[in-house]
Amino acid sequence: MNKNETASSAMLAGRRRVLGAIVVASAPGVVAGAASAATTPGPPGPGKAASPLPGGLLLHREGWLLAHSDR
Amino acid sequence: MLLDSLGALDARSRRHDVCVIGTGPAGATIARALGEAGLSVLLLEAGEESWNEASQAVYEGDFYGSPALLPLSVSRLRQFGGASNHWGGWCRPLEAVDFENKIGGLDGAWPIGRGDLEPWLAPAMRILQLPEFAPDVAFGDSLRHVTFAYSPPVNFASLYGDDFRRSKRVDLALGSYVTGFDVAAGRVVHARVRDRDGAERLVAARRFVVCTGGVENSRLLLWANQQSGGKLVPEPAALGRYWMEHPHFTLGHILLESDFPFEFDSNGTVFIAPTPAVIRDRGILGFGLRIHPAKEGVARKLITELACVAPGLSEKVFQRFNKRLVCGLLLRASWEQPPRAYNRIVLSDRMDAFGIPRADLHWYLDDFDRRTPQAAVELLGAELAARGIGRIRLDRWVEGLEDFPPDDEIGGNHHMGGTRMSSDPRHGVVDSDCRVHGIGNLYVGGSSVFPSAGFSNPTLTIVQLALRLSDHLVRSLARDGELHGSLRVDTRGAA
Repeated sequence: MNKNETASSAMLAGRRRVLGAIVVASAPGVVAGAASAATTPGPPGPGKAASPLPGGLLLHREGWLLAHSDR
Repeated sequence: MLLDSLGALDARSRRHDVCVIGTGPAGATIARALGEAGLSVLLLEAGEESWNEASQAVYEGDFYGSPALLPLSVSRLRQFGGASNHWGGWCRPLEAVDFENKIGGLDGAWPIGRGDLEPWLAPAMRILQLPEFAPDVAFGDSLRHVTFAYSPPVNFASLYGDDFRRSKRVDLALGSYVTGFDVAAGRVVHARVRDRDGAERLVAARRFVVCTGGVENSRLLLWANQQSGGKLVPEPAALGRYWMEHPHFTLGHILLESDFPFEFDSNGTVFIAPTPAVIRDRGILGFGLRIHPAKEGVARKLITELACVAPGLSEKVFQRFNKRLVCGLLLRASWEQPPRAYNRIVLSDRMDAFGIPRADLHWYLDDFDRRTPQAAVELLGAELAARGIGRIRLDRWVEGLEDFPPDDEIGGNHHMGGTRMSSDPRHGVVDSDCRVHGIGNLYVGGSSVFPSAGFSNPTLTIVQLALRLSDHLVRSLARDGELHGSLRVDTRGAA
């Protein structure tokens, strides 16, 4: 289990606010069984910077997708 | 009729035509359609009439993966009517392209096509009380403005519960938790059912249909298969696997230099989707861009940022801002997740109050889950720029600079896969009729049979599949000479 595998109550509380229609609250299950997780083949690691935005149709500057005529 | 308990069946010594397990949109639809067709049905619900903490606690399970979805005890409901007690009502049918194996190697093809579900679209829309769908409107060569239809939303317990209570053909038993099946000669002989006092009863029927939800279907079959020594699911390779959600994330914002060309619907949303051709050509999966008015203050901040990279355009938008015209839009998306064997339901080491292993969920997003939304913003950004409508400011994760944000919506509570449909038993749990491979009389209803997910919310497809399965059950029982009396074989008129 890596550091990103978590179900922290803070992040879940935030999403409960987003999904206001779901009214039933419960404490999240806390992962304990690393042995069974180890039997899952091939889950990916963290996806940071794994796939940069492809270029081509637009200019990509400082987070903006611009037309070539914008600069 | 509503049974006080399963014990009431003992005195009648009745063997029903079909035992339907679960009362959510799939199970309730099948039970109604079969009852209307003249079959005798035993409809079992593990929960009670209303939500209660003890029943809901059975749904607690652990999550492995990143980012974290809502807990399993929150994203589903163990009570009469199932998830229809908290769904949002958004509906749109799957499209022809959604049934294809869009990307080589992902193995997401259905053994049926859109045409196989088409006869059940109109009756499913009546059941869900949906208005007609507006036609799609092209937005350039690659995109479409699409619409969803909104159910009130229909709650199957409150709207259709009295149908079961009054029915002479459907027996409804609440507090009846199916925990296993007895199998002999390739057929289910009994369902093993715990009543609310924990006592176990055996239920006989000619056909059994498991409709307990997109997580619970896998959990029940995994546990029951283990208990049967592998007789229940003779080909278990895919059981619990290829589980899917619709990832839901914010992509960024749109800054408008002219009026946005589409009106927001009754939910304050404009939906933009790719054309089937662009899905096939670019090797991406389905997506639905969801555009909403941005929060106050966002536009001014974006105009300031834009001045650093495109000062002329920033000035143009600022003039629009000063006229108090709408300048900022929020850009969100949900999209189709590639089916992966490692995304799956497994049995936990922890037990529920009845001594049955809980469900654990393993769910990860991978690089493909970034590729589809990246293509989406590129296509939309090009169209907005070419038409002089606006520009997109991306959130950092979309650029590949950060991981998926853990504090976003993450998923839509759309639990799909785990008992996927395939014509090949090595790659799926049920066949094209939703029958478990290798078992003559056991079927699965619900989104757990989806081999791939499209971008549409699943409930309409669940109800279409349920009606199609109902039709199959009526015909197969009639064909096998297992029915008596008059039947209405065609269930397409179900309403």
